[in-house]
Amino acid sequence: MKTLVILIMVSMISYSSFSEDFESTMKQTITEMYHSQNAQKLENIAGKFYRIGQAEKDNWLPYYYAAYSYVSITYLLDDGDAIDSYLDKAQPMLDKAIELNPDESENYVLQGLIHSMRITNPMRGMKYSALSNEALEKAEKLNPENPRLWLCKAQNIFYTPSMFGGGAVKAKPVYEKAAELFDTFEPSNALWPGWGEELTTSQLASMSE
Amino acid sequence: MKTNLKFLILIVPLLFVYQSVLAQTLVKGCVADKRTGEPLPSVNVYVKDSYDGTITGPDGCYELSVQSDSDFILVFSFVGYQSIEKTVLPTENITLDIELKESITNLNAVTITAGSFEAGDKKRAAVMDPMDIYTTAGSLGDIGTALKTLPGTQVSPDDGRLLVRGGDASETRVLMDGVLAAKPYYSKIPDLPTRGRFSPSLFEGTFFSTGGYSAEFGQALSSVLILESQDVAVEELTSLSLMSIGGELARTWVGSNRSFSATGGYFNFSPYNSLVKNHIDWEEDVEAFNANINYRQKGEKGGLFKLFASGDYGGQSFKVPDGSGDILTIDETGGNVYVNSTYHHSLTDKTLMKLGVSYTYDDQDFQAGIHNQQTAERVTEGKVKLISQLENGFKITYGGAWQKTLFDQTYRQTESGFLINTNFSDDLLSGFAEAEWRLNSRIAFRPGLRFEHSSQSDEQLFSPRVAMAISTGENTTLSMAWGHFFQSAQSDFLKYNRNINMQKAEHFILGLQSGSLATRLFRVEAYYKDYSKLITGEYNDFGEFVPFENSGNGYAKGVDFFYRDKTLIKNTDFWVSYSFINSERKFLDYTEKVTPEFISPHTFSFVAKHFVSPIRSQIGLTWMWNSGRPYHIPGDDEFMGHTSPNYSDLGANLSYLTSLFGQFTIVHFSMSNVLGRKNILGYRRVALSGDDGNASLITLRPDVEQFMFLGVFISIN
Repeated sequence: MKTLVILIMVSMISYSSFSEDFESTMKQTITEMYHSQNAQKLENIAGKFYRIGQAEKDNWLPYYYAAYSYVSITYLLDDGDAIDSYLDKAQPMLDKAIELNPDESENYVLQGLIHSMRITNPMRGMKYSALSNEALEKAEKLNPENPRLWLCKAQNIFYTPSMFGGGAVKAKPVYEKAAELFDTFEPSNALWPGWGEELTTSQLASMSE
Repeated sequence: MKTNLKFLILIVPLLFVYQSVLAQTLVKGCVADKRTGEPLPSVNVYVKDSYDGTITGPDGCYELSVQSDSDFILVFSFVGYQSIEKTVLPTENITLDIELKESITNLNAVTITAGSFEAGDKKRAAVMDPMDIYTTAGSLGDIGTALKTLPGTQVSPDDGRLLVRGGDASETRVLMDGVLAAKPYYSKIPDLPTRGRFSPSLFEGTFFSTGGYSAEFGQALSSVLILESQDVAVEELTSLSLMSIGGELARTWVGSNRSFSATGGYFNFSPYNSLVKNHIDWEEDVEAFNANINYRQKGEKGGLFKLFASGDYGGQSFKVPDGSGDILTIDETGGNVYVNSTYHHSLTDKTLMKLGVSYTYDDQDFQAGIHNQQTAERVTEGKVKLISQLENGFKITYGGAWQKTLFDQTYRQTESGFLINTNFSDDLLSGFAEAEWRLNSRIAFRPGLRFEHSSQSDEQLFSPRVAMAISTGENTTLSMAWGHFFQSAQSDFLKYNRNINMQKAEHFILGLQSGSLATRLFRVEAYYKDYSKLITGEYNDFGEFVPFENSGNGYAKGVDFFYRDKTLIKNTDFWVSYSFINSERKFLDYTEKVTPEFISPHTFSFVAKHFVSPIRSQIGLTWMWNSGRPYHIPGDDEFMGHTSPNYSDLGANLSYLTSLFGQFTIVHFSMSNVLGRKNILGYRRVALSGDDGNASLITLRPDVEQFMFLGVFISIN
């Protein structure tokens, strides 16, 4: 009897310490990711998220962040082929996240972002803007209140030349909608994706100038 | 209970203490690719079921300290490679160098490239992007014309169809989604180029094989062209095309997992012909209507249904010299219906079934002077194909097809009322099986066997085929292919003589490809082709060929070079093709074995595209050059003893991205023969009254010396 209780206790302790470990490790790595401006460092962070995902097995968030870390690297790059090579790494991570949680709006927002990042030359515009809009539409169906969804929509409009129905004027109300939703957005848990608010604010600020 | 709690209070600190005295193991080493030995950066190295780990640096090396008293498992994992697990005993320091093996299912696996040119997005063997067909100057959005900038093809500006490695135009078979497209070109009028029936916007990929192709394909002595149609559309779209020669309106509707689109067009060359100097004396300018519909639906587990149907109707009339000093009026009208439907379905996890049917109905009314010919041809094909992935690296493809051809032609002399009707039908049954075996990611081997039975010629033929590829270094592949290929006589021949057997070709191909489409790519291929059982006979009084027997033969041998570079000059993409061919054959009414009149020994093409960002325009240049083709002057002692002048054409185009009424718009301007060169393509001999002494030569010139095209393409979202 005693041994059984001890066994249960020990397993409980190790379990709770494990899950606390998950939360704290994730929090710490997420913070690190948001503050990294270095490709090698972000690649390390993506690797860590992947390891967490492999150990946790059924949680979509580590894979989501692994994908987002690779996407973050592309912000630091200019060369089209290099951007493609990191997006090629991000895609299988996001595929895994979608497989684990196919009804999560955030996953499709990230999918839309990956497609837009592939527009590294105007010839690709037609194909990838259609794919990006398709993913964002799916995200909107799942959660129309997702502020990152409206930010990505605004970005897609902003970077489309005004002659093709895009531009700052048309993007502004969409950024405003994103800003409004960021104000009221309640994350489901402490690890929920939180990127985008700063960019929304800075884009709006640069427009009012 | 109390004691238990006490015990717990005791054990908790103990656990922490226990952790802090764990032994520390330092593992370090380097990870490399097993095949190339190259270091692999960014490989994830971690302790199984834990967060502890690191990734390898740019040199492929890592260093990891692990706290553990017992054995632990270290995992090495990298996208596109097979993961490796190593059990590590807790000791002080150990070095673990690892070699990772590529997963064979990966895109990096070697691809058999012998003879084949692909245009696709993610395909390894691709040499063209789907966009290239639009943006190649001089191609005017015609798939065949764009493919003629690849090596192994003849320029043949008086034909417009694909003539591949010594083969004539009838030796290329065109398929859509793996099923026959029996009449892929608009009807061909002697000496005038024809165009492909299908718009490139229908397709997302093109597979063009210049020889040595899979056992899945038959009834082609030289080449197959496989057009892969678009999947389910994701965006509702209306597009309007306004061109100097007509207009087209298309609309796409999108539902969940399905899409439908409809297109209608009208073409009339008369405003254009009235503006441009043209050496054809038009009676009625080319006028045509066309329409098509497209439906796609996705099913469960990768199921996909596609339906495509198109129809067109048109005609033209013009005057030509008949060779004897008189003028002949040629009047042609015709219609065509084509339906193609395919269905893909996974039977099991490992077996995919592809079903396809196609139906072609072609009706032509051709009048030349007093001769009138009405032809109706119906071709139906049904095909089943199964692909079984037996294990990693071993795949078999097998299936069969049935093709029915019904041909009916009535010849009439308008003055005398003389009339003959000819008709026949042929059932062609075929079956094939092919294995694709990848020993590892370096070597692929593809043996196959094809069986064909024709009810018309009552023949049963087996064609063995083999292809293999060896990767000799990063992005370098050596490919080989060999096979037997059969083809029935064309309907125009069979109507005069049903006792004609299939013709045969045997291909030997050796090729090397290095580099990638994203940067630079080089390919060289040598081939030898042996033709036997070619059809021989003579031309009758109406200038039509009457076959006697299969006693002809011939050969074609040559070397093809291709180089494409996207990185050498910024914002510029260019490719260069050169083909050398030596070919002779004795067929048709040839009196001797000579180089046929459609072969130029040297063909060169250069294509460049430059994107000018500030003005959002792409400028394109295409230069095509070929050496002269042989021709025969009736009455000469030497058969085919003359050579026509060299041919050269420099085309230019400009595509400007802009917006009209707030909608995405492309303005496209294209011009052929910018330098205004007066090209002579060759000479065609005309036998009058079947008497060699009473014959003459017709000089073949491009129908239009300089072709100018202006189009505005608007996409409305």
